[in-house]
Amino acid sequence: MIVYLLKRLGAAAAILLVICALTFTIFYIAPDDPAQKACGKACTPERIEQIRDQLGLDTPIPEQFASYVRGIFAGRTYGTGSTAVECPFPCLGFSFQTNVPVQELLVSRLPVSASIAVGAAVLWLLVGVGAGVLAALRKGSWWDRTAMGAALGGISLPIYLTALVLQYLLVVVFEVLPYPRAVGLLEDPAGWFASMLMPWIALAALYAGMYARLTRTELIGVLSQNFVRTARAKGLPERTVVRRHALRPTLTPIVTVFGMDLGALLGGALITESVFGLPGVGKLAADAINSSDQPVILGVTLFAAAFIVFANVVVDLLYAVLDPRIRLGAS
Amino acid sequence: MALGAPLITALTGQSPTEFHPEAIDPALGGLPKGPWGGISAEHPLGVEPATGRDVLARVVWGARLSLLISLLATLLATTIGTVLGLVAGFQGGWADMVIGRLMDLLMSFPSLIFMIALMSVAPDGNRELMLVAVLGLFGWPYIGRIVRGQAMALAGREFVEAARVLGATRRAILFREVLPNLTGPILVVATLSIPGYIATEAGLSFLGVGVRPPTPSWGQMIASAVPWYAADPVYFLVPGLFLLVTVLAFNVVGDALGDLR
Amino acid sequence: MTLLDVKDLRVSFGETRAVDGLSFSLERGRVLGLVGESGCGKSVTSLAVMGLLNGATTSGEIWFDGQELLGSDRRAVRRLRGDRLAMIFQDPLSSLNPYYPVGFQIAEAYRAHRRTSRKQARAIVVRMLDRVGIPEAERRARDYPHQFSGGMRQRVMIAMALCLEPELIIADEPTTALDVTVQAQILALLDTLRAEYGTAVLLITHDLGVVAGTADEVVVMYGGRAVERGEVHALFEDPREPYTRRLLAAVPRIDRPVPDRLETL
Repeated sequence: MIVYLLKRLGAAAAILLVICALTFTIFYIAPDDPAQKACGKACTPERIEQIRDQLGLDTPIPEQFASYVRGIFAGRTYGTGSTAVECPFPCLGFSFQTNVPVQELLVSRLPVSASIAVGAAVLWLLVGVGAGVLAALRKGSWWDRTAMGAALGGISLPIYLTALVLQYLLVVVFEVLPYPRAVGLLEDPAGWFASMLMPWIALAALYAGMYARLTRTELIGVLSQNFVRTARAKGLPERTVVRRHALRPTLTPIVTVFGMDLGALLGGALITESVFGLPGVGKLAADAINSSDQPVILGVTLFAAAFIVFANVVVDLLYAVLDPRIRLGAS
Repeated sequence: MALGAPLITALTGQSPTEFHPEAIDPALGGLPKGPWGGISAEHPLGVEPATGRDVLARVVWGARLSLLISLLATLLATTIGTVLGLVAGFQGGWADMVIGRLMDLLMSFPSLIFMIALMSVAPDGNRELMLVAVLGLFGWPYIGRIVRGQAMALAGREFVEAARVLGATRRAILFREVLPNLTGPILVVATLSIPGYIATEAGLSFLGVGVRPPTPSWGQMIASAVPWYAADPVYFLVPGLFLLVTVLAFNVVGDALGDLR
Repeated sequence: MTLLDVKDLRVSFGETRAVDGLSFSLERGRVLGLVGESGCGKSVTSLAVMGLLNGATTSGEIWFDGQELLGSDRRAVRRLRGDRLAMIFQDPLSSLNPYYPVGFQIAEAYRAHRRTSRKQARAIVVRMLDRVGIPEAERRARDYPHQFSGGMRQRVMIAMALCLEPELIIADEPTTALDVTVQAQILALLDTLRAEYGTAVLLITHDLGVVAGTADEVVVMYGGRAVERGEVHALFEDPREPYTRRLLAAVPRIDRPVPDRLETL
């Protein structure tokens, strides 16, 4: 088990390194000169030269990449002498726009993204899995058809469309909700909830549809399994048969899908945040892309990839915990 | 509808890029004249605020572009995914190792962020082709993974074994024995991935890194409607509904195809 | 005394008739073999008796110890199920839930019908596992189905079926999924326990050898109805129906040369 875990972590690190390298190279096929970007508008050739030196832009690309990676693990110092800037572990560089360390930006933006992702996840799990279970248990019924039709509709809804329609109806026309703002959960719970509600619904509509369909398919499959027949043959009440014998095998694959979706979402609910103007990691990425703030783009990409890769590892372990056949190995 | 775009615009006599200053009201900050986003006999779906461009013309030309891009991306992703998936699943060994790792890698990418980053530094040349390439690049592992699994299962089946015993070449086995058995699942997955590409293309254009104006695209139209949506909801709803209906239609077809099998 | 009496049972799935007017009865403590080729309606019959048929139209009567089952409400049948009539299925691996230890799954059957503490149920489980010949029953009760061999899994299923000492066990192809050597062990075990508890057995199989070795009486089924019935040895010695004769002739025997052509049934 430990060997397996180490192997998985090693593979994860390798994947992150490759992603880092690929993202890094993109900057160098980009038409913009990073030094020019970092320097801003009021810029002198001397200043550009100084920045070039400070960022190490004159050294070969592999060397720059190496110092970038080293910076992540050990921190690094930009430039030398009087202009030297210390960038502590885990260094992802400085934003060209604001000169704030990228890691600080990420940390400050994470709570908003996490609020959106986790809240939406709770919503779509409840709605999606609930609807899917009911649909599977009443397969072919009026409810099943309605729920599955709605699920297909939900899957087809682009997030920004849902988001804008929600905002138009709830904020502009009916004025029941305020425009979303970034409010801390602890400072103003009611305001936080009111601000997060629309992003949650917009995201959850899409995922709830996917989860409802997935749950229904899985549960229908499990209900036709022989061991469910055995459970009925024991004389267990149907509720126990479904809850104990059918739901657990149904939920195991769903948990794994969920882990990956949540991992991908924590890395930035990019469109949702952009539409609602919420300052999360995704908005950070969108803004950075618009202003060609390369260290930030690189940082966010890595950060998001790290979440996805990490979620994959967690999901693998979770699967082993949930499924005794994997945990204890097939004989 | 997408194919008929030139016809429709010829019929209504409106060009997607032509400005109609007479249809907007500068006094209202460029809002269309008349209710419902300036719907009139001349402009059946209204006009764009600020420019007065015909919305119907832009929507149908946008449809043409969205569908073209997503179909080409599907074609690209399906081709790469099928070929590499077949090789990985059938060959096994190091080919499987390499291709498998590549798929893992691509699927671990925060693809939307990466696509945006890539598109934002992409040269301004042919952005439509760039979009196809980027969508295909990140899309193929999903088809590849399914094909690989199926090919692996088929490789051990008796009829493949029989073909091998009869001395069929590897290529003959792959294309005559294995591939025909995979067309069903491939078709379903491909159909179901079209709406995803439509939505992603629209999303990228929405975020301003897809198709650049004046070329019309649904996502871009929705994005340009955002500042106006409170005052002129029709302008935002029209491309939105077209997008929703198209995506839904592909999903329904894919779903039905999946049930048929 | 008659324990199970099936009268004119008809089961159909849509247009397809699976069982078409089948009648038979089974005395307490006896073993009835229900034989026939696959698709003749044997398994459907067993599921009908257990009340486990979904999406089928049934008619006729199934009397169990003086109670008619087809017309009873589902709750009443559910209470009988597992308690007074139990079932052993063909494939023990897929018939056990992979997510729970076998001990839990047996205890669950017991606790569905008897009010006992977990501890008492646990003791009964261990005793049953021991009784069906699973070594180190105490420890093995905590193991999961995939950790057992095929024969051991079927022993678990037998323990599950017998833990409430039912009056009737329906064994649907109990040995088909097992190796030949294991088949004999399982049949012997089933026979011993049956004699010990005085349980009646409805043995459903396509394997005439199994029937010949264990059953008292046989009903030969074909196309959803009984074509011949009788005491096992008499029937095998002197089959009256042509179908039974051909069925017997189709059994490969190692003590006779292989015929040039197999008879088509």
